[in-house]
Amino acid sequence: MNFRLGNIFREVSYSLRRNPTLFLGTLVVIAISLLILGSGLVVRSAVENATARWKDGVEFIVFMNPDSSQVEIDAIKAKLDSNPEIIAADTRFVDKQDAFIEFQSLFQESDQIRESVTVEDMPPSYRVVPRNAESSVVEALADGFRDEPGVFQVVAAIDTIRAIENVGDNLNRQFLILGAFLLLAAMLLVYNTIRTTIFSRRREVEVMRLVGASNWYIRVPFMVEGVLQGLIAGLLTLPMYRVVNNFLSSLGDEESLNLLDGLRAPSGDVVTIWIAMVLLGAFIGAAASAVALSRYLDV
Amino acid sequence: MIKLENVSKIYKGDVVALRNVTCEIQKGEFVFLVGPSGSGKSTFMRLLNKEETPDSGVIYVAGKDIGRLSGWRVPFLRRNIGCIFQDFKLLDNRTVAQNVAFALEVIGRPRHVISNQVPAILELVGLSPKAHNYPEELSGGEQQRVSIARAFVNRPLILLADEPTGNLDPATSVGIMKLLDRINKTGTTVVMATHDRGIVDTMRKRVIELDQGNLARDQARGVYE
Repeated sequence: MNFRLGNIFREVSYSLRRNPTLFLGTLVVIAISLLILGSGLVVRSAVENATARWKDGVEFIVFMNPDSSQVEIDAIKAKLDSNPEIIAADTRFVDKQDAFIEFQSLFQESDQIRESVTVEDMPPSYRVVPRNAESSVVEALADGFRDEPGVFQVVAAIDTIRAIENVGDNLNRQFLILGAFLLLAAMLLVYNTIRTTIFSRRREVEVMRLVGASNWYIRVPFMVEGVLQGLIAGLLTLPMYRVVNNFLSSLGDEESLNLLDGLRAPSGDVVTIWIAMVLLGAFIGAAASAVALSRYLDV
Repeated sequence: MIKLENVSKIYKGDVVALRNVTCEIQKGEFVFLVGPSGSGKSTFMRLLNKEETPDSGVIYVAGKDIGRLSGWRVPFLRRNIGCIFQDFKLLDNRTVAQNVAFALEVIGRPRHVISNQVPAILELVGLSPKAHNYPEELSGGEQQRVSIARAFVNRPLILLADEPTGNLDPATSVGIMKLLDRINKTGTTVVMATHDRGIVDTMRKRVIELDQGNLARDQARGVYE
């Protein structure tokens, strides 16, 4: 094969200059489809990250009334300690002072909320680590404390986790379906771009064939064009994944009192997803142009 | 150099382009291919550089049965066959020199070879002063000279010319024929399909006449009819 890199890139750049709008349009569609597909994966990674923190020490929280008596508090402790389903050693008591500090840290961006409470307003609580982390077991255990004297509220973290997982699963599924459809559209666009390029360069192709250029020499610039579209589109998506990730973590901060904290894909995962999307983009470009070449380039 | 044995080519709808054609062309010959439109002249030419494949029969080019040539070797066959057309097939976005160089670039000739051969061939066809002009700035005769230069720059064994003077006035045509004659004298086999009675009658070369796909006449130092 008689490839000269300079020749290939000259052919490709000439082709791009001849039809820049088609190239750019196709590139944008590939980028959007990769972005949606990749965002689905970022959401999944973020959900796994958020729920992993809870899964390690799944707990429910028994909040006492702020004015509950020491006797009531001790009674709950005794009940927790005596329950074989609960790991007493890992169960932690958060007193008014600690609760106040936690609250201050949770709402550090809102002075109004922080200043509206005092240490005395804070409910002490038990952070309970059950032996069995299944949601039904946790729910049953939590229910056993709801009607105890002095108990203000029992919150099972598992509910929130399930909610996050459900939202995450749905988002992930929708992103994947939408991304797959868009990817199909992107492939058809690459196919048509290459077809148009072949058509606009049919005289060159004809001459190349007549003077004895090898089949690969003729094909490679077209394939490079397809792959280039996919690669550039893939590369462009990186900053967008970061935006998606930041959006996810902002959800946790504002609305969910720390339960959504950690809803953020680790940056290693984001880079892996990005690389996968760049490769997928290149593959789409190569595959679509290969099909177009086999159908429209009779060499 | 070229040998056809009982070659037939039938297109879809039972359109017979060639029927049982047998002939042989020696190295260095100049052959006119004549006959009315649709007689099979273009198919004859296209079969020689394997743009078409025959339905039956065997074609030898430079001693090789090209029917047995695998796809990836076809480009190597074509490097030995230069082609010239009525419509020149030049690339409008390239200069004269670039058009000629293109034929060498795409078969991977080194740059120093290209920079030596292109000026030499432009000198041969008399176009050195117009090396940097674009095809649209040239007359029809000059464009055909560029086309000949591109076909001959790789020194092919065979030159196939399909109606090369079809778009040119008689005076210009004479110049093109003189050029083809010069190329033929270098030992290159020239096969030229034409309708130009004046040229055939003047040059008195071998004439192969096709009629409805049949070989109607094969005459040394022949005339148009």
